[in-house]
Amino acid sequence: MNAHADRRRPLLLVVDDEPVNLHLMSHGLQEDFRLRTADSGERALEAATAGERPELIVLDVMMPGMDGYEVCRRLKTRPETRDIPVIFVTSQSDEAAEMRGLAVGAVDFIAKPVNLRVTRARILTHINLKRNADRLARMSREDALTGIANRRSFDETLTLHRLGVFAELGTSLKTTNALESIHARVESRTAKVDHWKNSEQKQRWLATALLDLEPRLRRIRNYRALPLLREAIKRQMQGVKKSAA
Amino acid sequence: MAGAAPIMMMNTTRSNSPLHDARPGFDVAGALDRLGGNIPLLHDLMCRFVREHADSADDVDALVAARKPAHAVAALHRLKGAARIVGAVALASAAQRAEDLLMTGDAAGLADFRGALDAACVQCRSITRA
Repeated sequence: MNAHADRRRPLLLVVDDEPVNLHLMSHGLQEDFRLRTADSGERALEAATAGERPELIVLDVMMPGMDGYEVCRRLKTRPETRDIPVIFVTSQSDEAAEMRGLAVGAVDFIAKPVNLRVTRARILTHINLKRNADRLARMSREDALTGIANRRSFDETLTLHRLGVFAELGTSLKTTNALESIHARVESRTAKVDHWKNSEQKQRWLATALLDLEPRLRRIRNYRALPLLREAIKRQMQGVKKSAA
Repeated sequence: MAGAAPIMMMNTTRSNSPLHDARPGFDVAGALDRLGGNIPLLHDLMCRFVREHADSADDVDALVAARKPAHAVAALHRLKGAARIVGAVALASAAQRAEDLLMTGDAAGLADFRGALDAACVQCRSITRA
């Protein structure tokens, strides 16, 4: 398998304290997935954030020290891991155990002893669901015309900023207000452009509008939409040149 | 249908495999079915099982002697899961009984578990050497 094809296989994190179970999962699923393993709850939390994020976590419930429920609960409290689907592997088939697992954020259960075909199918189902949800979320945060971050994305960023998550942006009200003002301009101008029928006129207007805004954005350090905005300006300018030619 | 060939090869291999001989206390067919007919993987798992758990009865005894019944129950639970994977159903049942006995404070039933573990390891070695 070449490196590109290998890269396209989803990365799984499999967590189990029993070596036979880990061997089963890591060797039985290796044709369809890339595998990262951890043999304890503590190591699972490290492995979930080390380098590339896993697309899904297969988590044993009963482990010495930190059990699967606690691992899942902690994963769901961290912004960088809370959206990773977790499937529990358990020999406990009672309703209370399942309810507890779902309550801490698991998406599914696999019963021991594991059936590889069923396990593979369930994992793929949840990875596809997650990818579709991510695609929808991305679409809801980008302006369809320009491809730059839209109002919703801006509001979310701003909320995180206010919560202090993006400390690098600074915390001053002045910065916040400047960002709000600039985004409102972007939004109103791109909205106007949407109604125009003449594509050349539309492109020229948008390029001018974006060029006008770019210096304002440049003054604000680390605004995360800035690279997107610059890319949009470049694209629009290319479009205008082509139309004029 | 690129995936069809390996499955046919596996089935051909399967009919000549010692895995299909009757093994007391084992459900090899069930284990193999759960692994999608992957005989080399079942062999690997059996080798791994023996390596990891051949001395587990001593470990459980030591935990009971050290008055750590919860740890002993956890060790039995882990072994039971591994036994089910390789199809050692008699051992899995013996481990479950030992778990139940330990939870009621009775360590006398561990002798059965030790016998079942030894028998399962003998079978695994026999299958993987054949």
